[in-house]
Amino acid sequence: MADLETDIIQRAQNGESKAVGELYMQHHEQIFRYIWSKVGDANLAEDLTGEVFMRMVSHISSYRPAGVPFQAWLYRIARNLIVDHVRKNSSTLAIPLENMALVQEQGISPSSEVENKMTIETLQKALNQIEHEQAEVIRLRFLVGLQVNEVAQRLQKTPAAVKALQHRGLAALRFAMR
Amino acid sequence: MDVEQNLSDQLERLEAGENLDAILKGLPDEEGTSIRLAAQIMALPKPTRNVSIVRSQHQKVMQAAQAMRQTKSSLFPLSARWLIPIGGLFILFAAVAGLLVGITWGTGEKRPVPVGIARDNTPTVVADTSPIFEGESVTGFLPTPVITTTNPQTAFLFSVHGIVQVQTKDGTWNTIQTAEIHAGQTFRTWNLSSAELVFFDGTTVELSQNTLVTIESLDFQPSGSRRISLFQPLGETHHRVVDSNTPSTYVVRTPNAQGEAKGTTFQVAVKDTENSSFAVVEGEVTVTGQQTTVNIVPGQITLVQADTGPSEPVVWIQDEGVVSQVGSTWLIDGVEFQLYEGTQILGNPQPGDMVAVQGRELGNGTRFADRLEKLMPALDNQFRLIGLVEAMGVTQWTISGQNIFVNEKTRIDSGVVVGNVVLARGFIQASGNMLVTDIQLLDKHTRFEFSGLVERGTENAWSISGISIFTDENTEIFGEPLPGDIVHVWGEVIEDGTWLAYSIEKVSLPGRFEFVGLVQMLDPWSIRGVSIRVNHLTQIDPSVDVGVMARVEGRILEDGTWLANEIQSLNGDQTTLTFIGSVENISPWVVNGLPLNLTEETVVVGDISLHSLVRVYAHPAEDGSWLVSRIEWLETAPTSTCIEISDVIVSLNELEITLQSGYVIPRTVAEISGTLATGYTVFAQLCFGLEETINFASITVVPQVEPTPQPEGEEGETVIICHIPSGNANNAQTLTVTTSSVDAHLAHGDYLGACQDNDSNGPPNDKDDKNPKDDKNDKNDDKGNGNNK
Repeated sequence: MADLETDIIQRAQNGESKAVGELYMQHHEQIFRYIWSKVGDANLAEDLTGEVFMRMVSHISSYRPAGVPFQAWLYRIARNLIVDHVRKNSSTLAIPLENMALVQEQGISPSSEVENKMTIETLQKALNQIEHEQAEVIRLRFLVGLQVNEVAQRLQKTPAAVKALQHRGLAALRFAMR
Repeated sequence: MDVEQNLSDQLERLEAGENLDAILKGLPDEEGTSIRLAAQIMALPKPTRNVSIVRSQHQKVMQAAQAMRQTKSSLFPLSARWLIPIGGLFILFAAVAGLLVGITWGTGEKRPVPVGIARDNTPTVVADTSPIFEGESVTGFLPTPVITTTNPQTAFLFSVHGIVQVQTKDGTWNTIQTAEIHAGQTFRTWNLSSAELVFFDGTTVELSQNTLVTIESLDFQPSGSRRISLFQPLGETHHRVVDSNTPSTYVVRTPNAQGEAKGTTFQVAVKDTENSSFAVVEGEVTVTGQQTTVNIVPGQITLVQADTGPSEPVVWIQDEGVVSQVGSTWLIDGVEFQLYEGTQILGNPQPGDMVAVQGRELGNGTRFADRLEKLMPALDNQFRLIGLVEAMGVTQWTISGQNIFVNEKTRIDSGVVVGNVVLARGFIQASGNMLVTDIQLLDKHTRFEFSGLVERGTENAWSISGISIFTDENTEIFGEPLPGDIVHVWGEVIEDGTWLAYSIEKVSLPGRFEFVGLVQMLDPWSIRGVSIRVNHLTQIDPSVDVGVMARVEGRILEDGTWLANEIQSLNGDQTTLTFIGSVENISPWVVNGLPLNLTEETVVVGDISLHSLVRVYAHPAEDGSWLVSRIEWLETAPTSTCIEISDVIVSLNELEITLQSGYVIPRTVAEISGTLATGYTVFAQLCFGLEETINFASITVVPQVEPTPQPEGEEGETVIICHIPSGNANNAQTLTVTTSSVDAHLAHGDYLGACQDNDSNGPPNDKDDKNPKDDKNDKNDDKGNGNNK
């Protein structure tokens, strides 16, 4: 699996557009979910996801497989992009009304959207109050849906460290949500 | 089993679909609550991706990869030293008259490629990159949700830095972050601003700062053919035109001209209505003006002049190097460049600085510089020391066990006391003494300083070069800055993360930035929420990592990005010393006069030998020696930030001394030996700091043939005293000081004349004698006689 991915990455680094397309298809869903978990806005997450992969194309020549895992590298790009976005749009990341149409398209009723919006907002606020690493683990585990080992790989930590962060993060989150 | 493992096991059961109540059974309350919380988060509805956007993005990234491949294949080999395009930078050219200028992609016979230039004009055709029609969106990748279209007859502006505006039908300008652009629309970038325009087929145009472009026509046919016409009355653009298998046109017009291109990469610069130029990275371009047509191939540039049309193509130069001579002729890495009135000089480079040069080489070998931009100040002999202030004396301080020398010219932040962590910057003198020119307090409430573009400004909230800056009643605002202006802002990041400005002042040119913050990300870098660009010249402290508090210093580029010169770790109170110097001895190691201790753990990069220029990162060992964590060989030939010249004073006043060569020396940084007067010849050592200004000068008056009687007590006269450091009478030192500071010295116990007792634990007097200041005095006598004209 790792060899296969390494091969795809090398082909992408050589400018093979098909390999770049494969990388996109492999990772876009999780990157999208991760960004959504940070910004709470599906439409914005769609756009930022596209931008992450455009940056991937721009910088893939500098990626070194011996360094960070490729997924971790992509997450870094995503995190940086979100930071950029927040910096440029420091007002709000709440779900805008104009996105209701899309929500309806996806089969979510307006009332549940409002409910979800509130819940997501509450969660976002609480996550912002706890330690960054703990919040990252909570997002990746329960919003993105990654297993402990996968989180460990993306955050370049040991599974034990992730479990500890998960434990402390949930405890801190409980306190923050009171 | 520990609680963390147990919680993880229970969560895995939950994820596997087990009933929550069953999992919670028998668990302690606290653990149960955590699992309930996790279950609630997991139960939140998760959005799914929009399929059409996924398809569009998938297509787009593949097109981008293809475009990137084509661009890369055209890059010149590194061996073509003077022809290497510097990524992302556009040429700026000078030249001449605004006429009809056009470019036409050459379809005919190719011209010979200049020596040293690689060429790859073979179009890369990839089946899956053909344009998509019938309902496919090309805009899903754009960074705001409002931009979606299924219409290929549009282009999109994105990657905006700074202020980018689109003109509306009524002539007003709307500031945008991204925008869908139709034929007929005009858009522009401001100072320190940039943007990228992408067409349906992946063709891109990068706009540099102060650029104005109109899309005159834009039409994609289902057959794949393309018809694009742009009008560029001002600024710089870089075009990467995707090759087309069907007849297509790509037109760029400058005032009174038009042309065509396809499947090529080229750059266009329009300085004003009478000055423009064209250069080609890939493919072939035909430039027409005043009924004259020339073809340019990769690595060539043509200047379009009024009345004469485009010049014959010449070799286009882009490179980096160290300045060793300035004036009408510059020496950059030993290569001569002529300057002319159209040469643009950015950042006031000085001898020793690393610069980027863009220019032309004529057929007779003469090289003209069109643009010179300072990339990095010379750092040879300079040091930066971060550490704890342990003692503060009149001439000596102790910072983390290291003795450093200060004088009355040393700039010291107010409020520094023993126990503070400071950044000390200065020069390592020939004797190995560390003379400090600047001591900066590094307190917890981190300060910041930068010059950037005002993007928005309200009563107390500003956006300056992408940073949200807040003001309060104490903030001083000078020059009534408005959006679009460049300002120098300094202040402090307060506890809640707010960037609070102490002052905002309108300035004419962008400058450097400096701030302290937590490193949030590496590659790409983010420090305190600011995206930082690094390049091969950036000095990065090896101990910098995510989570480390670091001090970052650099400059904001024309396109609005923040490029770091240096990123230095401030973790804990650990003392770090960074400097660049020449290897004077190996085993034992001595660099710039400083004895260094290299161990098995020292990382040695490159083949370092005697006289190599190296960058050193060191920490103090318990015995006071410098323990080197990393030492790197630098390719650049040794240069000095300090120059020594013999020159004549052409004017002087209370503030400044002006030399015939043009150097203006502030008296506040000058050590003066002898009496100054207009017309006198002096021997001067001038040292340049990060701000390109002279921050240390030692001026010695050469004995004049017809000496003028010197006024009694004139400033600049020096006196020898014996300095007794406060609380350390055994460390007496013989010093030469200016008359103006004698009273202060005498007031704390110093006495006139040389010290009588040299038997002290401090620097012995023979070491004092090695002090360059004293050397200068000694040299003065010798050199003065020698230089006496």
